[in-house]
Amino acid sequence: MPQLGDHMIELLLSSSKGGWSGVASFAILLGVLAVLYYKRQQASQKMADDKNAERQHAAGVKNTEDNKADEINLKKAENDIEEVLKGGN
Amino acid sequence: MKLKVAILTTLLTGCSATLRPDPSPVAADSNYPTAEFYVQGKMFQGLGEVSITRGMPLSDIKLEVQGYYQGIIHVDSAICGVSTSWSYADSQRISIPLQGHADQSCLIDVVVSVVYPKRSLNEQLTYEFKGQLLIKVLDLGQAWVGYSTKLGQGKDAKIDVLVKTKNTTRVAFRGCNIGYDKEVQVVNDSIAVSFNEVAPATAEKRCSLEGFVKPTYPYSTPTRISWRVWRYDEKFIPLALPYVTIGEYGHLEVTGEPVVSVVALDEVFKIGSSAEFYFTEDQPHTLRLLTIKGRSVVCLYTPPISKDWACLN
Repeated sequence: MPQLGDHMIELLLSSSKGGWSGVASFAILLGVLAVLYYKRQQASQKMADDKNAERQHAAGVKNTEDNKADEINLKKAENDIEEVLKGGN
Repeated sequence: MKLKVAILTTLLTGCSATLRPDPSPVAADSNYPTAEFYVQGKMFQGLGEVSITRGMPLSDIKLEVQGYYQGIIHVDSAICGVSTSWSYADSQRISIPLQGHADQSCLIDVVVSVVYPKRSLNEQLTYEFKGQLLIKVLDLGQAWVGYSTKLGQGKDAKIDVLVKTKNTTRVAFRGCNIGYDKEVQVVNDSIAVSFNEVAPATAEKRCSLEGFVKPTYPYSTPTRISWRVWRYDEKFIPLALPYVTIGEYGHLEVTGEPVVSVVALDEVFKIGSSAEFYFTEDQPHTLRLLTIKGRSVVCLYTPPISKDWACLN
């Protein structure tokens, strides 16, 4: 089954045989493909950027929550061990 | 024909290097901190600790967090009164200003969110580097040692604490729902403490243990101990250390795992899992390897003290 690549190669070959219309067609096709590819890349990159930004925000929030829990545990451990030291138990 | 199509595809997509996928679980979500930070010039990767005398200004603690490429560094501590984000660029090391005076011990949590170069992203999601610094507040003259351990599931960790006696010493720990108190024999001026012995039944993933050693005879003051143990997830594997050689013409050749996305020597950052750098053997260097899941290796080269790479992962 002929594929897009095959058509492009045919166009490329015809242009190399001196056909100016072939060169122009090939250049236009290449240009259209480049624009389509660029637009697709931009759209999917924006989606990835949005997801990354959303996650970065969530990571900041989680950091704050984790910090509170860890500091409570640290404080409790410190108080408990100082009690042991004072009491000698 | 396939070759021709491949050539066309290459022409269309360009030749820029892209970040590599990393099939590992995310480091930060696996309870495996990897943020690179410096306290009074000493490097820590993930977990670190420092002490300060009660009443002294917290600004005496010089905390710097290493950024990669550009991004945001978020720092949090409810007790030490900091909850701020800083933007950075050019792989800067950001100095974190701490305000107020040392009143209570606190934990400073750090998140480094990297924005990789657009062309390298290839639509991939990238993940943060997390870290935590313990600031231990001590009364004047109190002795203290701090430890932190990243522990794999089913593994044990040991710390060696120096003790100024030849006899027995009392060892006690609290925190993480444990109450450990024991007399142990000192061997070679130190005692070895095993985490699984101190906290055998704990299911906590992040343990902040506070303890002391106190020689029973002759009487002497206790040495306080802080020991943070973070158990990381079973499926998580720390990033392997790189293969480093000095090639011809003094070039440093670094090869990391295929999942490594960034290899950097000092300020020179390169996308890829291996790279070559111009290298001077008589000067200190820092080597870094990063993956998009927040796994990392940081190696220090410190001549003339050592001409070996000391790596943390």
